[in-house]
Amino acid sequence: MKNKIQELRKARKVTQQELADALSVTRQTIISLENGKYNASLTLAHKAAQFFGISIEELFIFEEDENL
Amino acid sequence: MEDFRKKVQTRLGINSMLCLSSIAIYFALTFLTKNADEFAKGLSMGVFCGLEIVAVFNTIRLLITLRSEEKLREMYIKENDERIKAIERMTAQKGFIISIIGMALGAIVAGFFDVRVCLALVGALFFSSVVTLCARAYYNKNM
Repeated sequence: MKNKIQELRKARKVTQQELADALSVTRQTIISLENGKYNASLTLAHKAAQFFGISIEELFIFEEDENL
Repeated sequence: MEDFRKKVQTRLGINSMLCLSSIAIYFALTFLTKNADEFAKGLSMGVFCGLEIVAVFNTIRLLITLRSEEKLREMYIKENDERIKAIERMTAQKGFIISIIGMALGAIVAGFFDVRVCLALVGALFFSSVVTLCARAYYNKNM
């Protein structure tokens, strides 16, 4: 699943470590999320969306045929 | 974080108890295995020494962690990070499947050479399957 985490993080001048601390995850998780290697759980997606002040749908781009 | 601190304190208590009771465990092991053969004695002592080393290491690590709020938070994040948990789940699943296949193949091959080894492997395979089925039934009911 694609997301705008890297884009938003860079726009707000937040480091990966700062974001990781804010979301209570490791920096490696942020790297994997940004690279699209790992899909966040609903809880983490919610926390990330709250951090950036946008909705989950705006932060994560769900592609319908992704799991087909 | 207070709940996690209590959890770490409990772990510290268990590890410290294991460290403190090492002498008692050593004498109990010596007494229980006095008539056993050298291999069994060596094996039980080896496991005991290994456990004690892990307990000492854990006690020191947990003591250091509990003294620093930052280290405690670091530990909390490492233990609760969902990606690490997902990796652990996947590793356990794949590792289990590979072990089961390996054991089944081993049992077949062992059947040509030694029936006891073959039966031991079949027994382990059967036990693993029963445990897996029970765990699956439990999680099916509770999740």
